[in-house]
Amino acid sequence: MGIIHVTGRDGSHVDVHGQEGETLMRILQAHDMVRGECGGLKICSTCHVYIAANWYAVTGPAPPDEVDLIDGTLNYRAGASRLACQIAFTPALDGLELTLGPEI
Amino acid sequence: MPVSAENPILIVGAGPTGMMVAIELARRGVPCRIVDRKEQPAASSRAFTIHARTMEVFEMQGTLPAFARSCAPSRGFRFNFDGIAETPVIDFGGLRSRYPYVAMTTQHDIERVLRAHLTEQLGVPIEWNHELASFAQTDDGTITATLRDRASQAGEQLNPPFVVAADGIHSVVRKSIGLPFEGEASENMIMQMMDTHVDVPNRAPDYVEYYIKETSFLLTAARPDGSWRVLISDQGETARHTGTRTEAFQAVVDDFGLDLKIVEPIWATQWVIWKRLAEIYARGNVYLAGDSAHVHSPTAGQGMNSCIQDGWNLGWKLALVARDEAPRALLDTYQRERLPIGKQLIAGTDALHSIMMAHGVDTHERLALTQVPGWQRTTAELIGGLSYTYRDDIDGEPDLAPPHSGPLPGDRAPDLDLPGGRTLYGALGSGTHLLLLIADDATPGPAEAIARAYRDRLGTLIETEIVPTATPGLAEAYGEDADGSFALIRPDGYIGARGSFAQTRALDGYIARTFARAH
Repeated sequence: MGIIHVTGRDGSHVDVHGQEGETLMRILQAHDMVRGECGGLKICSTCHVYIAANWYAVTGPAPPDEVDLIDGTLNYRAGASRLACQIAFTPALDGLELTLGPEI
Repeated sequence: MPVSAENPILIVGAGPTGMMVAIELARRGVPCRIVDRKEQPAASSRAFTIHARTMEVFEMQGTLPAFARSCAPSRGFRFNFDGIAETPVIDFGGLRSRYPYVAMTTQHDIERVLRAHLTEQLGVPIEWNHELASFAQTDDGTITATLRDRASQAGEQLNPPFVVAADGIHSVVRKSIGLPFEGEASENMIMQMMDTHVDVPNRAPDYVEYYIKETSFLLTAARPDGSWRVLISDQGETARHTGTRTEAFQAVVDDFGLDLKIVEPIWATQWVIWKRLAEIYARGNVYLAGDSAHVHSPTAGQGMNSCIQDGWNLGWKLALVARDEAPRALLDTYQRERLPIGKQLIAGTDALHSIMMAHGVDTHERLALTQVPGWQRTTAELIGGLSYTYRDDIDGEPDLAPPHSGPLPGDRAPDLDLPGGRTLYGALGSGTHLLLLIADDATPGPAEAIARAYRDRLGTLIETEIVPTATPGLAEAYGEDADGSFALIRPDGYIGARGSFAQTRALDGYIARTFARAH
């Protein structure tokens, strides 16, 4: 169990709780924050988030195919963009700060 | 703001849609710039079907000969429902067109042909690796855009008089001016597509095969280069397969019991189907076209065709307005005509989707949808693009009843053989309006007089063609009673006005609405 600090598309701040092993996508989906249309198969980019700079090293960078996918939506930001479905929540991510990507 | 060489029309996106608009502008001498954020043309094949109306469009445009070399005809689509002996088909062989088939090709080849035509024959370069860094339009239609070279990061400020947003489903232009793009995703449905070399028993497939189970769908089609297209729709099973892509695809092929072995994949992709429509295609001086305006189920391969036809509809209108030969109101007809087509397209692809990919619905129920009387012909004409009409959206003279059978204003103008071995669509290659006058050989006088009068009034804006009543196929195409009638055909091959020689008021009304210089 841990906390994720989420900045919404309107700039509002909400804290949500995550369970270890869940993907960030499932955690955010449970709060209607992302659509996750492909169900976490790295296909649709509808769970795109911007990871805060000081957390990006902890989540790790997006691999090239993930970068290409997000870039296709024209919303890619180097050093921040990730697909939430590709990040499993761990105790190391307790306190993670992220901003929801634009609706596509 | 007038269009000029210093202030050209800006087309954002150099896919088929953007290139169609650019070609239609450039062949009429209208300055335009076409930019694309990609570094270079995409190498992948993507869309792979061209339907009859698009072939006709390419013929009228003059790009067909180059394109025809890279496509192969298929009779149509065959539905193989799991456990059901009956195999309904959508057969395009009966289409009343010179192209009664589905042309199997690739988007890559289409783009290559259009690109060569645009850049080499018309001299309009495509500015690759350029993206919009900012885009805004004021209430009075003034556009301010920053174009950025992605390599050098150099920015360029522009105030284009018109912008065509052919920049795809994630259109920056559409988002920047706040136009809606509402709709939904097809829930829990993943599409997988692969071009691959296969080992398959010696048979020449004359149909694109659809294999349909209750919870999955498989398409196989032979491609012109000898490889095959394999497309799968399921609920994510193939995407979740832990083996290679080849193993995952082969597992589905085997599950359907097909004697087909995937041996050498060339390219694969996957996506989630969206169904979305921009309810507004035009705002101020910005026009949405292609995927930026509509996206839908890929059933029957209609997406690229509708995109090309958006560009075809918009191009000549934008050119006439840019050349100050038509009033601005002509451009309003773009949305009036193409938005209903976008809606019909979504409804039509939905209907086919319900047969092919309604995962979870019993296959007998889906078969029943193909058994409706007339379904085969109606569907073929719709997919082929021949029955789409602007009839309900085109202005006319309401007090003038159509005196003849045959196509009405807004309908597609059927092709005809003309004297001297020419064709009507070939004659439309000039890019102008064409006044078709149907007259008995023995009494051509009235037709000649009308032809002369309108040529004198409209100069290069119109061409005229007198067609003898005895022309083969004329009665079938333009009505048994077409003698003594005219059809004014727009540059896009749709009827603008129709009437008898005694009813040229219908013609005058159209001309007054369409040409600023209505003499």
